[in-house]
Amino acid sequence: MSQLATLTTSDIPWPPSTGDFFLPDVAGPWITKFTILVWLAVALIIAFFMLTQRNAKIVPSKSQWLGESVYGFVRDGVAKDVIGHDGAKFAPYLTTLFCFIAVTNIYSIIPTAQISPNSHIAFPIVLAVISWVIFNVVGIRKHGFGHYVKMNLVPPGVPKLLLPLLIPIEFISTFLLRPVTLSVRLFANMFAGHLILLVFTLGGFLLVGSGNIGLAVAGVISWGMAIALTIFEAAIALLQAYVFVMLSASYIAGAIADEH
Amino acid sequence: MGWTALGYLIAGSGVWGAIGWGIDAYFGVPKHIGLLTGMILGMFLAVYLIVKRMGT
Repeated sequence: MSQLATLTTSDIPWPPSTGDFFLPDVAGPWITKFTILVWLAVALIIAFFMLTQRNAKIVPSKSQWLGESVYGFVRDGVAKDVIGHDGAKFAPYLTTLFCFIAVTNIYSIIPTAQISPNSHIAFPIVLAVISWVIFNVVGIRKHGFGHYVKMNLVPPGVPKLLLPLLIPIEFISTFLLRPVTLSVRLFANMFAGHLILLVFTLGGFLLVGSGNIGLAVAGVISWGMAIALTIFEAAIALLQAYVFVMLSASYIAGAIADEH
Repeated sequence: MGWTALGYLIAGSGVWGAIGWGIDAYFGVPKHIGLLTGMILGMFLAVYLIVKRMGT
């Protein structure tokens, strides 16, 4: 408690702001904590699948089962379920995407990492652009450019007079709003999660150190909330990875679908 | 599917609201009449599109 008491108000960066998301450079402007976290995520995912799939056997060992169940979850639960029998082709991409987002999201509650790279919108934007390029490319390959564009912009069974009014809406919602919502959803969830944890944790220190017994009790409650929200944040991290992959799959499904 | 519908509603009122706002600014229409008409029209069109694309 004596250590807590020495933490005066001025020691605590309060209130939490967007400045808390810009961490100091580790080595030069190109290597930040986020860079290192992303490299680590890539290394962890490669190591995980290398280790679990090394000497794969027909009767899987425990570790092989673990790796295969991650892949099987995305292949059967997302790719085949949403895209159909062509879905298995996209399972490697979707699994990579799922693992990368899940690992980078879960950083937000891992001590010492504490923040997810996805709380900077640049990372979700790149991921959304990759999904955007993929669903457009597979759609154009399957239907040809003209037919693909017409399929997406001209709704079937609509009077010709209404088309000039409807085509701008279709264009914006299919080709512009999809990548935007994909990236903003992931970014906003991770950003808000980090900010909420900062508010309850740092706010707890402020309240406990305020010297008022009533406020100190509120501070302890605030820490309890921080713990509860950390568990909540873990659920959000995995859920957002799933939602991102699910929506990418449904865009691919829409792009390669036959006339509807 | 819910996200698609929401996207249509945002895009609908956004696109036609923006066009209406442009008409307001260009012709000097008072009281944002173009913007409001555009947004309402866009909402109608979005609902129509949702019914056509995802109905039945």
